[in-house]
Parts: sequence; C-alpha cells; structure tokens
Amino acid sequence: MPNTWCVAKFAQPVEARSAIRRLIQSGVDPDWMEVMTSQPIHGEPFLPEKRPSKLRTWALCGAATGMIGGCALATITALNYPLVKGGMPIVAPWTVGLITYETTMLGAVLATLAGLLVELGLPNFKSLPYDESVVDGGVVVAVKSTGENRPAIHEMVTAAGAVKVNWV
Amino acid sequence: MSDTPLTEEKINRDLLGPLFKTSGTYFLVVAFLALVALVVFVAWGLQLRYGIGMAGKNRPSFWGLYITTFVFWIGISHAGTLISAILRVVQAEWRRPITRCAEAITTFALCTGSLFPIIHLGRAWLFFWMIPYPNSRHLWPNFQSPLMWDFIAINTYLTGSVTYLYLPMIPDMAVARDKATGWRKKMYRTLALGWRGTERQWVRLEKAIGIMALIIIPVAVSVHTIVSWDFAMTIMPMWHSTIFGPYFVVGAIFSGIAALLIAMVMIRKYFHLEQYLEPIHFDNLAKMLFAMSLLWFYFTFTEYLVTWYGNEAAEMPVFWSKVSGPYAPMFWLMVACNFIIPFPILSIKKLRTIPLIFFASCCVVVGMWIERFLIIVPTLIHPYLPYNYGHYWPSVTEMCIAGGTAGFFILLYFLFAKFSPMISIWEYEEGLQVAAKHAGHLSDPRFAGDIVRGDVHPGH
Repeated sequence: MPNTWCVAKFAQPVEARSAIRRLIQSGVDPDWMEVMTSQPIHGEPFLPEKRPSKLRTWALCGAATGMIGGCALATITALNYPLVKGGMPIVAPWTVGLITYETTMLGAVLATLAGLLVELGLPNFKSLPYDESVVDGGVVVAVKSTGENRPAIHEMVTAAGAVKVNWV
Repeated sequence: MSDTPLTEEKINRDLLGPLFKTSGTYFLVVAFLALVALVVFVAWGLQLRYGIGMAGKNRPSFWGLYITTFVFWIGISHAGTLISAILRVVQAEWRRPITRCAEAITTFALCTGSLFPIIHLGRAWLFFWMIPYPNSRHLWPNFQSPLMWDFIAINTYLTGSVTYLYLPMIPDMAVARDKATGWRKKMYRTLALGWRGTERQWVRLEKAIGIMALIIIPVAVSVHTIVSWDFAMTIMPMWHSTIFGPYFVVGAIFSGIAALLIAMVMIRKYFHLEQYLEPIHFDNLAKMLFAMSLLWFYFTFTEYLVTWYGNEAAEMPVFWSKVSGPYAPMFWLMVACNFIIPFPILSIKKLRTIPLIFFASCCVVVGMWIERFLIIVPTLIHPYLPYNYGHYWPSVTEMCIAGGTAGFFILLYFLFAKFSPMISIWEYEEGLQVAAKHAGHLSDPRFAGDIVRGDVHPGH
C-alpha cells in the first residue's frame, strides 16, 4: 500500500500536542510528522528539531565572501589602472574599507536569504500535505502512514480532539 | 472603532479585504497619482530630448533641486527598515502593526530617490558606467569617489530592504493564496514560494528576520552617512564638517518617522484599520518623533554655532545668507516646521492626538526638505572666491520632476497596498498570543504555550 498522509486539524495546540505525544508513544517516527500553524507558536516545540538551523553560518560565510570580494574589487581595479586621484595613494585603505564594509553587508544579506531558501527547500510547488483552513487558526498535524497503521493513526488523532481529519 | 473580538478569521478578513475589494475612489486616486507621475516622466523625457540645460542648474550651482530631493528621499527611506529593525531587535511589541507600512516606505522611497542621480546625470543612458564590470577600455569606477560609495551603499540598502520587506511577507502571501481565487491565487501561489507554515519554516523564518534586522541597522546608518559625505568630503564652506554623518542620520530618521506617521494615518483612514492601528501606536511614534526633533535641533544649533563662532571668511556669507539673507524665510520656516510647531504638539500629552500628530508630521516632512535645500544651494552659490558667487532658481522642469516624485512615491505605495496586506497578519496574530501570555491567559492549561483568541491587542 502506498504511503498516505493523515492531515488532522485541531482547534487548540494543547490537543495537537496530545495527539503528537500519542503518535510518538505508538511508535510513529517524529520525522514522519509535520505541524502547521498560521503563526509561530511560542513555548515548547511540537516536534524535536533534528537539524539545527545554520543560518548564522550562512550569514557569516556570505559576509566573509562579500568582504573578500569587495576588498579585492576595490584594490585590484585600482592597481589595474593606477591613477593618482586627489593626492591619495593608489590603494587607499580608508576608501577600500568603505567599499569592503558595504559589500560585506551585501554578502551577508544575500547569503541569509539564500540560506533560508535552501534550508526550507523553497520555492517548492509540489503537492504536499496541507490544510488551507489553518490560516484561520488552529493547528494542523500531518502524519505519514504506511497503510497498516492508518486506522490506529486515525483513532489517535480523533481521540486527541481533531476537529477534521483528511487523508491525502 | 469596532469592539468585535479579534479572531484569526476576522484579522484575515479585515487585512486581506483591501486586496480583494477595490472601490471606485481607489481607481480615482490611482489615476490622479498616475497623472502626477506622468508629469515626472514627461518632464524627464523633455530634459533627455533637449538637454540638461532645461534644468535651472548653472555655474556655480551645479547641484540643485535634484540632489536636494535625492537626499530628501534617501532620508525618508530611513523610516522603515531602520525603525522596524530597531523595534524588532528590542522586541517592542507595539511595532507589529506598523512594520509593514514602514518597510514599504523604505523600499519605495529608495526607488524614488535613486531616480535622481540618474536624472541629474543628464545623459542618463550612460548610467551603466557606474557599474563595475570589465569593460573594453579597461577602466573601472573610481572607488575613491564618494559618489561611488553612494552607488554601492544605496544598492546594498535597497537589496537589504527589499529582502527585509519580502521575508515577513511570505506567510502573508500564503494566507492570500489560500483566500484568493483566479489569477490572484496563481500570483500569490508563486509569491508564497510553497509556504505551509510548518514549525521548521517558522523557526527559520524568524531567525532569518532576526539576522536581517541586525544587518540592516548598520547598513541604514552607513547609507545616510555616506550621502552626507558627498558634501562633507569636499572643502566647501559649511559642508566640510565632521558632524555631517550623524547630523544627516538624525535628520533622516526624523523625516522618516514623520513620513511613517503620515502613511499610517492615511492607511488607517482609507482601509478602515482603526482596530489595528490604534492611538497608542501613534502616541509611541510621536514620542520618538519628539525625541528626534530635539536631537535635530541640537545638531542644527551645534552646526550653526560653531560656524558663527569660528567666523571664517569663506563660511560667513553662507551663514548669513541663511540666517538673515535671501534664504532667511526658508531657514526660519525650517526651524518652525522642524522644532517650534512639533515641540508643543508632541510634548504635551493632550495635544498628541492623531490629527495633530499628522499635522506635525507634515510640517516635519516639509521642514526636512527645506533643510536639504538649505544645506546644498547656499553653499554652492557662495564658493570660496567672491567673484564666483552666483544665484540659483529651479526651472519648471526641475520643479515638475522634484515635486512630481511625491505623486510617484504615493502611487507605488498605493499599488503595493492593493497587493500586500499593509499590516503583517502573522506578526499581528503572534502579538495577540504574546499579549495573552502577558495578560495571564496561559495559566489556563488548555492554552499552555499556545494561540489565544480574544480581545487582547498587541502593544497594550
């Protein structure tokens, strides 16, 4: 039997947490579950985070790339056509520093954006488990089922208080 | 103001309403603004056709209305991203309904302001010479020129601001996607990038926004500092000042907050968002505007006092032309608009009403434009050698272009308001959650750590 997704909607997060707890206790792998909300929920995470975010590393790498790139651009291009301007040295540290600063920041901005898109796998227009009504509140829990455990999953989410259960 | 409790459905309905319903008034306003914007482009077209002589610039005043308005718009751009980023970093809860309005101002003010150096070039088609690329003549831009610093800094700020505007918009685009039909659904589907609001997505998005906020603050400060260095790096009278950087940054934030308040009043009135943009938001921003007014006065006083006390032969004609000479009416109007009028309105609690805050903000915007003009023109027409003195009066072409960009900016802003909710839906809802937590609703185990619906408001 092919894998299917159980998409259960709960009115309150506390009910969603209860369903997740039951599912994990019954042996469902947390990697096979997803929780969707219309806003970030504060407090304990619903599911354990296995891969921590590397966005800071992305930003730092982008900043370093921007810094090296900007410094090289301002320095090498000045040396490429050496022309004394305003009595300043060909490579003036003050002005190279300014360009380097801006390109460092630009690198960090672009890398943070790129990192976010890569880490989230966006854009992604494939058909994935989702319930559009989540934007009007509540919590949606999607659970991947192998087929054999389908009745058990259905029973557990219903017992936890799901207001709507769809199989996709 | 409606007393209906705020639920997610109601918030979605209220904030997405302007996207899906268009009144006849909206079309009329947009048509009028488009006409004003058309004036800008027709005037620019004529200038391109007949040459830069159509502008009123002459020797020794080679910078006039175009550069004045450029500096003005770059200043206005500090409304958004910088203020929004600062409020995000300090976790000011009342920021939530205003961040989107503010960030959009930055993006469109930068787009508008960036036109002016190109218009000012005269031969706008040679603009690409500023772009560093390996060209056939082996020439590279002069990175020792403050104008190149401007180019790099403004582009960095624009890239950062667009990113900073777009990231928090992704979840709202997803809400719009789920509520829209027809071509709108396709458009929002593309813009939402496949967002589903999973826990992993929220955690990363909030982290990315936090990082962006930290990056954008120093970039914003650097941009207006660099704009000030266009002037301060010269040795012209009253320009070669060490405090020009912070003076410009303070002026930029000052005019930016005023522009933000004007935009908020208009959005609140036009889109009926009284339940979201509450008096407390105006009051808090008005207090910030008051602080900036005091800072602006302090910097202006310092700048003029030091010049007067120094009594340098080259600087005094510029000084007196502003204080008691031909530019005195503008100078004292600037002082009135930026300090004398806003001071009582913003400092006395009873006077800090929305209509009076709006009036004070309009005065500040006008005053700050005059300030930019008074920094640029009197210095240029009073260079070091008295026989080089000249005069400057803007031409009709310059006035059409400079004045018309206000219409162009408002047009962009209005079009954006039809395309994106002007209040970040998810951030507002998150604010309800935080407010509920503070109000103690979460002691109820049913809600532990979770969404609470009710009549709590972010910022209270």
